[in-house]
Amino acid sequence: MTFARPAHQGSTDPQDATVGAVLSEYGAATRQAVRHYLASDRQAPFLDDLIADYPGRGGKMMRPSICLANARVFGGRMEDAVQSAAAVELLHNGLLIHDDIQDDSELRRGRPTLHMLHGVPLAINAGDAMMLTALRPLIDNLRHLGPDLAMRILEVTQAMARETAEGQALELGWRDTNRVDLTEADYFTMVLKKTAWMGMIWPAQVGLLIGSRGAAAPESVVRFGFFLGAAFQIEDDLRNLAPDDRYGKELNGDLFEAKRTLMLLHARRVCSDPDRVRLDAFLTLRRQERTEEDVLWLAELMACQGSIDYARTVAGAMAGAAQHEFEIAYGALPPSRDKSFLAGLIPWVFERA
Amino acid sequence: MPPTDRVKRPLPEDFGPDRSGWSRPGATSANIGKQSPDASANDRSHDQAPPPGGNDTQYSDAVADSVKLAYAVIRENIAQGRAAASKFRDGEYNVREVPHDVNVLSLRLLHLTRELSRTSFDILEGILSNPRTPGATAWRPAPPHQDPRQFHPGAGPFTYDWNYTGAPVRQGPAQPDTQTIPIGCVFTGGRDAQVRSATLSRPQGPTHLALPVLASLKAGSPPIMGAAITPASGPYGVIVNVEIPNTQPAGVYGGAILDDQGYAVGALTIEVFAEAT
Repeated sequence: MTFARPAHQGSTDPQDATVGAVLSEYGAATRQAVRHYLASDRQAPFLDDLIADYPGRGGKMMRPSICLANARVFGGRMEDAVQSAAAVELLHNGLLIHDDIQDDSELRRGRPTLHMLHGVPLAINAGDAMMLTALRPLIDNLRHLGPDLAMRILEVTQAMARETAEGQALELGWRDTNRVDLTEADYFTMVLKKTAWMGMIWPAQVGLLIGSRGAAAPESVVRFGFFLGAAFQIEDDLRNLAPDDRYGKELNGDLFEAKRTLMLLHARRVCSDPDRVRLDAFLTLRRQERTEEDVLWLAELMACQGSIDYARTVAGAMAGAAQHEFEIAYGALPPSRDKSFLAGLIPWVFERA
Repeated sequence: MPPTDRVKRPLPEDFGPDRSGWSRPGATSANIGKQSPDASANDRSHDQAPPPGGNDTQYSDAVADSVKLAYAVIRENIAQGRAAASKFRDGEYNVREVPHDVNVLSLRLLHLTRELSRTSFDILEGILSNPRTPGATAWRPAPPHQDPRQFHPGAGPFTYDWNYTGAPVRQGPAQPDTQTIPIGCVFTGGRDAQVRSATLSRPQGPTHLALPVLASLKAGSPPIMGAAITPASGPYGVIVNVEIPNTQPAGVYGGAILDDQGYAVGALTIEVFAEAT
């Protein structure tokens, strides 16, 4: 069973045009910096081509754009932050490689994942190399921004790395130990650590530090980043249940992986006892043991129990909370294109292609 | 990206920020979304989202609860971060003080990283294809006072009383009470089977359960390994997932369920049917 998504419509909202234009501009600047850091005097076999693969597939460049927009909205220049934006994108892509292996994912941005193309060992090696390459621009910050500011950026980077590892460990651990007693609070904790910290909070903190030359408090954007990340993650999980080639991941892959999504937690909570027994039995299976029939049953269970609609509603609520926190974090700053971009990310989460 | 290429999803009717969830009783629309009077100077957000108080805005309790929960999560995380930062400053931080489950999972991640650093890719692939958290369902050696051969796979016949009805296999210093926990059994793999008997005493405290081996009395029949025990719901206490290989000889197999100290707290006996002709 699949869930039809609303028909795509062209947007006439100038706010969208702002988001799209900023993503395009900041994405191009970041890609140039990424290419600079990935350039090598000599071509390393079985490595350099693999490292260049994911960045070459495109991507929306949301994370580095958040970094650059924060740098500018807090008064900085793009050229001061573009190296750090490159670090954000490099680290993100390195983590994607490892995520795909850990999830045994088959598609990334519409093409086979790196480990499907080259095998797990080489893909892990490429991911390691890319994450280590991400350190280079952060080290370069010592020259560009001075040791104090560069160190503060490294500090928030270290904190992000810890949070992200904890979040990934939670998700993997829940699946590996087949935890079925999770609550929404558990889910939000995982989203905060696994998604929001690396994808939204950290890029915003880095940009904020650069833009304010270390004067603004990195903590001030944590809540905005968290709620934006929660809306983003729930929408991402919903899209996994809807057929759309542009999504770039396998349909229902999250169900095959028994990923602990808000829909799964809700369905298990509200379904009948017999359905819960069957669901728990399904969750005990390994991925390769789960059949298409089982997955379609689970998808239908989620639909029948209102779990899809529930998750959509909660995603909207998270967006509302993000808007609230945006006003607190950025409301006092003067109007600007970058401020509009950051505010526009909230509806964009639901409309992105 | 041209606007016409964008995916457009109809927005919910009440998509705009619904701030009534954070307004104090008596708040007006003029101060909704602003700092509450009792918010501390260092905490500009309203982490403590009060229950809906206004009559002018309708929204579901579920949405309010979700937002409230999310605020509780971020509040807790920030509090932990502040505490950790304080300890870092004082040079007292110890990774052992993080919550136990996070600690265990982090150790597993460290283990994986260690494997990576050794580029033991074959090992890693094995972990990825059959992930287990150490201690959850993996093999555990018997305590020193027990004969390790009794439970060790491939180390001799499994001496088990098939008429066992619920008492622990061996007496240990920490006996569970006599209250039993229901067991559900799921068979996977290519062979049919049924449960002959299943018993599990309630442990005295939280523990990991393991069923490392289901052995046959029939000489020469290989044991069934790798049964996984997971918590269940509803009328079931735990679910035992037994994968039976296609080549498994028909017969009766049994094994003890062990707690995380290696003491038996239950047993499972199954009958594997002959391969369908």
